[in-house]
Amino acid sequence: MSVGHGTKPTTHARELGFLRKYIFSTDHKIIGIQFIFSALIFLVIGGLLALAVRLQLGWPAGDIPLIGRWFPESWGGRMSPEFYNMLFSTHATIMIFLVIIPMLAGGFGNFLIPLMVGAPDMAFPRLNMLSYWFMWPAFVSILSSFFVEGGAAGVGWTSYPTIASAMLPEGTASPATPNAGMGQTLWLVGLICVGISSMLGSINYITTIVNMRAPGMTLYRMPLTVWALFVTAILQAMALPVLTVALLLQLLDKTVGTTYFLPPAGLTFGNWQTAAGGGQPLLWQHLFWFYSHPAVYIMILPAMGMVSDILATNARKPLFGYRPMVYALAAIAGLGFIVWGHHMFQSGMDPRLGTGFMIATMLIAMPSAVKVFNWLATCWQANMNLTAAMLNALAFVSMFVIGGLSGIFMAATPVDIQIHDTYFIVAHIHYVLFMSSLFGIFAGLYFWYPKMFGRMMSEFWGKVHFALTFVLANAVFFPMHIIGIQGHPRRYYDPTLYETWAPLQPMNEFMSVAAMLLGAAQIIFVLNFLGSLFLGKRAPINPWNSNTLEWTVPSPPPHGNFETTPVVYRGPYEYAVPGEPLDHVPQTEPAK
Amino acid sequence: MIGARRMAPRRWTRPLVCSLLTTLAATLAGCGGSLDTGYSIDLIYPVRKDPLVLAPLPAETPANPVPPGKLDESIRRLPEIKGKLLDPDKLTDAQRADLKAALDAAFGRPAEPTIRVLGKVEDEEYADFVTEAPASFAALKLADPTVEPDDKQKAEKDQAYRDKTLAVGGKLFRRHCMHCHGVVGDGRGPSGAWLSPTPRDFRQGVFKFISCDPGLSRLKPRRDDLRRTLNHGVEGTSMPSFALLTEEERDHLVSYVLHLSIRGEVEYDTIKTLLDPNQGPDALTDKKLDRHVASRTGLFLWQWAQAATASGATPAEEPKATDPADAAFPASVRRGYQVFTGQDAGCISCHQDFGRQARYRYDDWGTLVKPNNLTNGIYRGGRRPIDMYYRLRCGIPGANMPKIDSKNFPDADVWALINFLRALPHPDTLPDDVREKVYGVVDPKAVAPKHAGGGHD
Amino acid sequence: MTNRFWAVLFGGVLLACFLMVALAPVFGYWLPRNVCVYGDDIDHLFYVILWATGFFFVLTSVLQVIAIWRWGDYDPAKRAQYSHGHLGLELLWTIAPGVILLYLTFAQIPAWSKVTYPSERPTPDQVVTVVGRQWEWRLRYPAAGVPERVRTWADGGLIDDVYVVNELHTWKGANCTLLLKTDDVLHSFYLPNFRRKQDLLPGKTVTIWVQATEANTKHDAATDTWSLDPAVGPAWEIACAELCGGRHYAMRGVVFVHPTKDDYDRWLKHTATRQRSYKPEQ
Repeated sequence: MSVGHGTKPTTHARELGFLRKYIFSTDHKIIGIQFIFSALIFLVIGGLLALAVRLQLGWPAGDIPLIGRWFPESWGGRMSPEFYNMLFSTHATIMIFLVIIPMLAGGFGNFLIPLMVGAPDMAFPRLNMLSYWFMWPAFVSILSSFFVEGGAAGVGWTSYPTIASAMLPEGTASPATPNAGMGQTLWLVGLICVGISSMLGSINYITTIVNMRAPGMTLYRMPLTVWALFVTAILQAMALPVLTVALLLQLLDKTVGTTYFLPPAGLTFGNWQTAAGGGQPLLWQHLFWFYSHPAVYIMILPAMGMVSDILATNARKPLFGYRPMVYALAAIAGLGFIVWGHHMFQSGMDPRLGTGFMIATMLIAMPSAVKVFNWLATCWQANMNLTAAMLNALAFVSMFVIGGLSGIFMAATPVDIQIHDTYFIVAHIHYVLFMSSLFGIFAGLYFWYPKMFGRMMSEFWGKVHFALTFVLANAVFFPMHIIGIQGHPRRYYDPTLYETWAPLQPMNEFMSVAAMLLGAAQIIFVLNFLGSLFLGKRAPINPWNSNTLEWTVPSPPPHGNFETTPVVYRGPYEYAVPGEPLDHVPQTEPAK
Repeated sequence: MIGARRMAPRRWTRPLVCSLLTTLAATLAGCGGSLDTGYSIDLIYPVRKDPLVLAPLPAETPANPVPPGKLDESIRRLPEIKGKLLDPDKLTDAQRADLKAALDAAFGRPAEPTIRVLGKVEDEEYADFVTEAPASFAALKLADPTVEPDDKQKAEKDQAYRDKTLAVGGKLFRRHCMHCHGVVGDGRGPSGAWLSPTPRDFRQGVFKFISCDPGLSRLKPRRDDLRRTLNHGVEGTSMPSFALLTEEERDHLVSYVLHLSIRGEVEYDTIKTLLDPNQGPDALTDKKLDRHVASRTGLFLWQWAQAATASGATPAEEPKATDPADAAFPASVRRGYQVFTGQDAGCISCHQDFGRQARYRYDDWGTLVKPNNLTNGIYRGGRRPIDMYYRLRCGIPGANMPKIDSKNFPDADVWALINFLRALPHPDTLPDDVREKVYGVVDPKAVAPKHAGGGHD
Repeated sequence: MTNRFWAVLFGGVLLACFLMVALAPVFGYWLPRNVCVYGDDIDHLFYVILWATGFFFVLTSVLQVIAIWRWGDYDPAKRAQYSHGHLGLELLWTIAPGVILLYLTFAQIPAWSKVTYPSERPTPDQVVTVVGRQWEWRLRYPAAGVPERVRTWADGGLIDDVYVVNELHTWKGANCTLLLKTDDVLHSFYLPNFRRKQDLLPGKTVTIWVQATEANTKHDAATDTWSLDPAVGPAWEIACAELCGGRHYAMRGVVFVHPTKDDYDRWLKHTATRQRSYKPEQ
């Protein structure tokens, strides 16, 4: 692929009004910041839902504290099991679809890609704006689902038929559980909108990266962040159509009476009898996981890319093994398409299929291992500046090791028999999503905040936030491995009914206390983030002395990004180059 | 920029982090597992707001049950189809306050449940029941029958025993039952309205699966009947088996259900009297309402005690042929078929097409219930022959399945009917002629399976 | 907050994680007791993976803590080592994990096929139909022996079948084949002490097998009842492991393993008799 043709930066003939400049903007930077702000708001909502889950798990026999009197009288002051199901289902849905994916792909992807490749904006700016605004129907859908009859969706973020899809011939309420009625329908609509948003975005990213790189910016001179977002966009473009169709099929089953997931004999719920069907519940799992496995890579690859850049910059040392790192990204993504069945080992599908999926799944650990060792090698004999961003990036590495290693237990089909649907899985999920993706997000926010908002965040409070989050998050999530090994199932309203798991209650209580403290610690980040917008020191152009193109333009960059199209002469990781006066050489620095 | 000035560590940051970690460790050390403290002391039994369903019930026979979440809506529409409702909304504030005070005094609150029959009752019709109360408590095992007599001391000991039993039962109820049956036992817990059939509403003092002639027991079940429901669950519904609780726990639960039922029935009866147009608005003011509550509490306690001490429906003779391999079995099944389809017992008039085409009808709680599809092999009240005997001899109160009296149908006929019912889901055990009439085919292998898919038992 | 502080913080947290795994068994938090014939195979594989992953966890943790300790003290006057990579290292840490992973992969296959492949299912000594429904396990036992046509029996049932709720009865050493069905939503039949779980699918009958190596049931001749022997320890329970609605958490069952086939037969007959009872209880 030849280097991209340079484009002259555009200037607008007239000054735009407030609405067109900041709300309905086609500027990728504004769109990126819109994604980030929306995601942060939902991070708070999703976090509060998680705290409510931990409240019930920590004290299963307890009453709802403080707000108990706002609940209906017949509840007797206690959380109902269906309400609990709704809590963890919406927690997961919001975190995955309204926080992590929009933040990483929509937020950082939008903000960074044109800047890092030297383009004035994305290839399709109006399509880009549409991709953000498609999130709003999803926000409205999911939020309003809390207030409909039966409540928000409560059948797990995986929304398996037949509990999610069973319907009676008439009406909008589900016979299977109250929260698979209108709430589930809104959930499906919301996720279809998120899918469309992501697909629109991914078209933009791929086109921009392929076509609009500045002169001299060969593919192998792009920062890892861009590579990661590029591969992520390809994943999204190829996997999302399958999810969107699956959601549509379930939506049709729920509204129009199709029977894609309804078995031939229909279903019986006491007195209620559904219509006869002609489909298979297992079909959903295949379609869903065909997307949702690549989805987990969509949720980690951008963070991996950002961590690579942040580590190299703060270690003042080139990224170790640039090309292997790129190949590893591609390998993870490619393999990610053929492992979806590892979520279905116990599902009733032919166990021989399980063997095939196990082989592919075990192999995916290889490129992940390559990445971990390269990150460690980047820090070896380095000259590390332990900024808040760097600390979060370092934590990403070791926490991802834990998350990745626990994945190997689950990949092993016989061992998975024991740990499937237990807290071992929940531990794994949170190590890769909270302590890897979210730490990556924190690292990215601390690192690129100056460029986004023209202000510096408080380094001191960033470090306090990191220390507390690091310790407390491990306190919350590591014991989950232990209780999972003991077989403690997930999605249980009250595990103390069982002699096998009642003795684990002290651990559940400990994790819940730690979770409350963890939630409280995030207030520091929120205050730092919001407060620095107004009170932070003005940011210079290149506060971190980094090499990549975004650090050559003002903080924040103007519309059109670059006054003149930059020309790139070298790779992004020229740090500690022998013979150079400074310990870093920007990409735009001509060769001697 | 970086490294130009290292951030000076604040003096208090290290101690801050260390103390937080210490607090965490202390919390871990202090974690001794969570205790079940039961109901909050602030929680009170709310006075009923949903309408009372009165006789006569609508005669409609809908094809479909009430949709999920629409129970109360469906009950409020009963007057449109000639049903009768009484709305507690029509109580004046003063009446409601008086009622609440009287019920709270007699029945306590969820954290401190009790049953007290308070004060003297002049009304001749009910005075006896009030004085019978202690005996009723003993019969219902709500008092310790082994305590030696000394009247005042015994009464106090009984009271304490009763309150302790009910408190333990209440705590268990909150943990295991409340989310379906509701705090007051109205079947409208957060999970309840989304189940079909809906969980039992205890507040009318009516229970379906009894083992005693309703004429003798005044329609109340015996403790054993409730315990049987807890042990086996109600097959085909969402009522699970609680056999994995200890026997003592199940006993306490039965006592607490009794408490909720008596409270509910007293409330039902009192609201009915308060809103009775013939009585006039001053019928039950002040003391009169208290005495009404006391008298009804005594009455319903007495009814439960009657059921507890009445002898159950005991078969006079044993069945002759019970094993399908027995030579006399086919004849017994044929006789059962005759009884079932005959005019006198009239089973087939409700269990149309052996239940396969039965339609829903309204029960005493205003909900819809369907005569069982007897080809399914699911028996809500229990599948033992003696359970079927109880259903036939005692009927099913609430759902209004009539009983088969022993004058017109001796036990031999009832056992024959039961043999027929047992064989009905298993076409290979039916005689050929009966099989043809029921399933339309002679070859047992040609009968379509109950469910093509997973099947249900 | 110097780099030493951060190295200690990282090291401390990682050490705490390590210790949690190392010490959990000491506090009794670990795999439930195994009483199934293939449980040891599965547990063995678990430990192999634990050691392998434990090694890499310690290795990467130590490397990271050392790096923070030694090179976390930024000095603008110094320069890091300028290196873009090293082919030998790349090959090492690609091939070595690859070899280990491939070994782990193929080590799993014998156990997986033994436990789950239909072709390797042993001949049953006992068959039980399990219907999972919201929210209980309804089990149905044949009155005597193993029916001739098992699938037909599982679908239709015989008039003298024995019906039990939430209790799986088998006997020590018996191959117990379970036919799992459901008519409403997905459930998962999970026996933690048998290392077996299987999702139930509406519209499909899934067959699994377990075989107990220990007994836990004793018979009280005086009352003619069977109960769990408290000397054996906590009950071997059945749990639902796939979200199935409100009372998903309450689908608790218990496994009763009788010491001999005779004892099991006696229980079966006793239960069958009570189910055919024509007399009122006491």
